[in-house]
Amino acid sequence: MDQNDLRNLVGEELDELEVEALRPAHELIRTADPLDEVPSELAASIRAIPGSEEQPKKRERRRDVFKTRRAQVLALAAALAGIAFAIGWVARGGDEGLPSAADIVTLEATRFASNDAEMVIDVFPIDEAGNWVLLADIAGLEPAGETQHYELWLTQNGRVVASCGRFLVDADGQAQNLWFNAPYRFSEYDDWVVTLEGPGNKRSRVLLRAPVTTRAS
Amino acid sequence: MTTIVAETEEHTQTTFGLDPQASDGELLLRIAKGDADAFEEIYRRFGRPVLALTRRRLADAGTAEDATQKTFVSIWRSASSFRPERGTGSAWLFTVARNSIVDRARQRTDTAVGDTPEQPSSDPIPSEIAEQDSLAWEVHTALERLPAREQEILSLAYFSELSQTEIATRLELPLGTVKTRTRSGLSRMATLLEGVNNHGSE
Repeated sequence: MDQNDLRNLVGEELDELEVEALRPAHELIRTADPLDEVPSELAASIRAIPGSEEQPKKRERRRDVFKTRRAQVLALAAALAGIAFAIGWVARGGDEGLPSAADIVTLEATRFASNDAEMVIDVFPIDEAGNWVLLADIAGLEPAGETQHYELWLTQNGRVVASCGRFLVDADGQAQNLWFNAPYRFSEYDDWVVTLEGPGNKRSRVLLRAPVTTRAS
Repeated sequence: MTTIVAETEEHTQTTFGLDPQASDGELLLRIAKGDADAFEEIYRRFGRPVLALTRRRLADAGTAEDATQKTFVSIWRSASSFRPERGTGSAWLFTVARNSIVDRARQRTDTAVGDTPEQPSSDPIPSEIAEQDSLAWEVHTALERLPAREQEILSLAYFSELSQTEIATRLELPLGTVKTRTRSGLSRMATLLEGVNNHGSE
């Protein structure tokens, strides 16, 4: 049977108007690839997630605490790293399956982003592979276009030189619990920045920025 | 307009005590509270569409499966960030899946991240691919919502390219029943895909 012929699929009982009403769905399905079954091992591992992956409830609570203290932190900019570290360390307490964060970094909006845009990064100790593990929450960014993505960078002398990862935000402008990694010596870099990247290497101005204060090598 | 044939709904999959009509958003809100049954139902609805999306974008099968796994880990861990007033559960899931794909694609290509970016990382997502992703996602998630008997027949017709007669033989059904279920399935798909055009937008 010719699958292009919708009439063949639905039979002769329908009148032409009824057939044409089905045509958009018919054409859309024809553009899609087949849906394969999920391999059994993968299915089993996904179904096991609720039993093996703890939801980060304490992280959310810690985040709330952090938010309420944000004004204080801004006012005491000089003490930012120490306060953030203390809040994260005390709140997490090492009992939620994650190690204590070595640092908490808050990237603030530049004048090219909404005032309430920010990214909060928990910097965890270096993992076995030698990477700094980063866990980030983002809020206040515009959803990227279909061909765009946001990117977290480290800068050196005013230039982006090291990518830590890419991300998208939801319609609410948020993304939470995004994992990145940074196999770098932080002491070699000046700032954390977020840019919006598009096709053809088109890059926005810096949208979020924070100085690199984690003095690790 | 075609009337959907009133046959008894078949749900061949267990719904674990959940309302099978629960919206994706309702399920995500339950997952945010640690409801494993809701997670199972989300997996039942979206496991195959997520895998299809990752396979479409990540040529390597193993990488695609990793991205699928990561997507569901993110769903479990991040469901609390879903805001029903800001969009559908399906749209949120699509964003989560795309993030996982972007992340896995970056890990695959960044063999020496530390050596990079005199030249900023480019690897743009071509707009046409993104549009096809969105379109395929809509079709796949709609197909997953069909009663199993209609889903099976449409899959055999469109993806296995069997004729109606061949489908009837394979499923041991009268040819008329195959055509009836095809019409019914297409009619449901037309409703579910209302507003989706062939440029992949709503």
